[in-house]
Amino acid sequence: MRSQQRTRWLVGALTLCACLCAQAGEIAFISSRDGPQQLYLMDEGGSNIRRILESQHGVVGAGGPAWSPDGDTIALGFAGVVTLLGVRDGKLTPLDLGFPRSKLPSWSWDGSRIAFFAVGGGIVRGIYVADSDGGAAELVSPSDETRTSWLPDGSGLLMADRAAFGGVTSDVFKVDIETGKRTNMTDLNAWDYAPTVSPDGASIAFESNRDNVADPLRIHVYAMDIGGAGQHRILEAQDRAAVTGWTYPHQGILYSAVRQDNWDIWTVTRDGRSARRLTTHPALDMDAVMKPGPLPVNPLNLKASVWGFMKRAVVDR
Amino acid sequence: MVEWTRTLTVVASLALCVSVCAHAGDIAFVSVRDGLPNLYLMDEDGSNIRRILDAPDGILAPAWSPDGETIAVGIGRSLSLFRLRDRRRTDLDLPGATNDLPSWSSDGKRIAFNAAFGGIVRGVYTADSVGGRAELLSPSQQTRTAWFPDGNRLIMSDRPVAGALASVIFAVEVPGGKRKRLTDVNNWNYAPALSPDGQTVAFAAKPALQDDTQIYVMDPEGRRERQLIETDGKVYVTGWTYPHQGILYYEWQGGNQDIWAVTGDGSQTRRLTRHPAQDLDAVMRPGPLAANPLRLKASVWGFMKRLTAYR
Repeated sequence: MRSQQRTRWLVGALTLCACLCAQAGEIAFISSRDGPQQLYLMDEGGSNIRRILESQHGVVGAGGPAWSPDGDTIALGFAGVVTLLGVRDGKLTPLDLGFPRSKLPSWSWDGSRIAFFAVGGGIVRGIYVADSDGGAAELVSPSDETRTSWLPDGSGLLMADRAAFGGVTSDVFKVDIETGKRTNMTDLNAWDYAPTVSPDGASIAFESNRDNVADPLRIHVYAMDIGGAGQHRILEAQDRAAVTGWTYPHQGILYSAVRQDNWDIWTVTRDGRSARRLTTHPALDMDAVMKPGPLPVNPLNLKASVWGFMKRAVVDR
Repeated sequence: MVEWTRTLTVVASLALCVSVCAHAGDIAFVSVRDGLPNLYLMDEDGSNIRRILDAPDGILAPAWSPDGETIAVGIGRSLSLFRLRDRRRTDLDLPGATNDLPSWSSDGKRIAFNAAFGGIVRGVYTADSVGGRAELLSPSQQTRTAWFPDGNRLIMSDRPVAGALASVIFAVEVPGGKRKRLTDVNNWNYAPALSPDGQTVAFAAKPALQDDTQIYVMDPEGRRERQLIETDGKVYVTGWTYPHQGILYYEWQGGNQDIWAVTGDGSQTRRLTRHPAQDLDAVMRPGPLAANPLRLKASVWGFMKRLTAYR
């Protein structure tokens, strides 16, 4: 009897794993392959590319879409403002944030808040945070246009900003949501940019020209521990690379790289040993982000993630 | 005979003036009144609005070439040159995955623009207006730029230090990127625009402890700064009018943006658009005479070419 129970548990666990593997892996990205920039999905290996957002009613902004932690919604800059796209029903909901222009959204790990960059209309340009259903936004930090990435506990954001006025130097910072206080994660005389936290919350991928500081057009992929230690180059891309996210659950890094004036999407393993080209279209392919896996997104919010998976399993099947 | 010659000269001058007046005043601007941000022209007083360029990728921040024949404009992530005569569009090959906010040098040979994303240092770059390798002039926040008439300096805005709750106006040497600060470091100063004669800088500023932003002017060395008008909303300076030396701006109020003009002395404002959709980024076609006193012949030649092309 016990043996039968064990077998059932094992089969159940294996089935669950198979389901998880089947669900993980969708990558959202922006491409101009059909003319204007539009939002697409592809499978983890770069196959099954399909357009999920037509842009007749607005312009898909540069800088990247962002998946909600439950994988149901994509936030992106659309028609000038941060907009939520329901992945299942295609419904577009502009977030009423009170700014003429907002973009570059990122979700907190529990999905309750969104950070974004706002500019225009006489406001202080910088990173703001609002509830993910809209409402009043608060300035976290004045900054240049920058992507952000939330820390797992929601206490802060990673962002990049110029370290010194007028210099060709940018550092990666951790900024406290409540106080706006910045803590340097990198501090070299180089251009460090686009930090993004790994799905397990243990690592940060970022771009840097620290090995070619004289060349503002030669930037590669680097990584470090979540505390800022162990900074190292992952790979030297073709000419230059733009880090956009991580893969689930394999903990690889998604980036765009240019070759012969063409941007395509690549992924590289965390150890840098294996890089793989996911798109090969002559049009621009950029800003790739992978749908969060149902389990390993955030150890602190495991229940929520499983719930998200269950919801998707019910809806998608 | 001498009388006849004088009369002919006067008549010719008057005819030239009439033509000049008829041509000056085309304002290019961006509007989403038809759904997407497209490029439009209107007359100086806001009438005769007509769409001149559609792009499903969206259009932002047009800039007229000094001869008034071409508009540089950000389309999607590209910077494109749009020639009005034949509606020909040419995408420039530039380094950023996003290239925008162009401005022309007064001889039309160089373009400054913002480049970002795609594994490059974000900032203001310059390139030949026919393309070619771009060079980083100055890392910066996204900023409008304007060339001084001599082509050796640009005006731009940037934060004074990292993380500062302030933005200041700078003059930047081209090439080299050496900066000279023109405004105080405690306010949020942005969107600088240089007058056609190069003698006045208009910019928007948010004074400390105020929510609304206002329009200010100063000389190109940062002296004689003064508030030009008081607005009830948030304003963004986009350019000057020719030849009257007024200032074009858009005002964001109650969730809508419309285009306004104010005289150079601030005595009169005029609303040019009144559409519930967003209207922004207005720039006036350079006048045939006033664009650059140092290059008068070139400007007259540009005007003559336009006469030929449009009539």
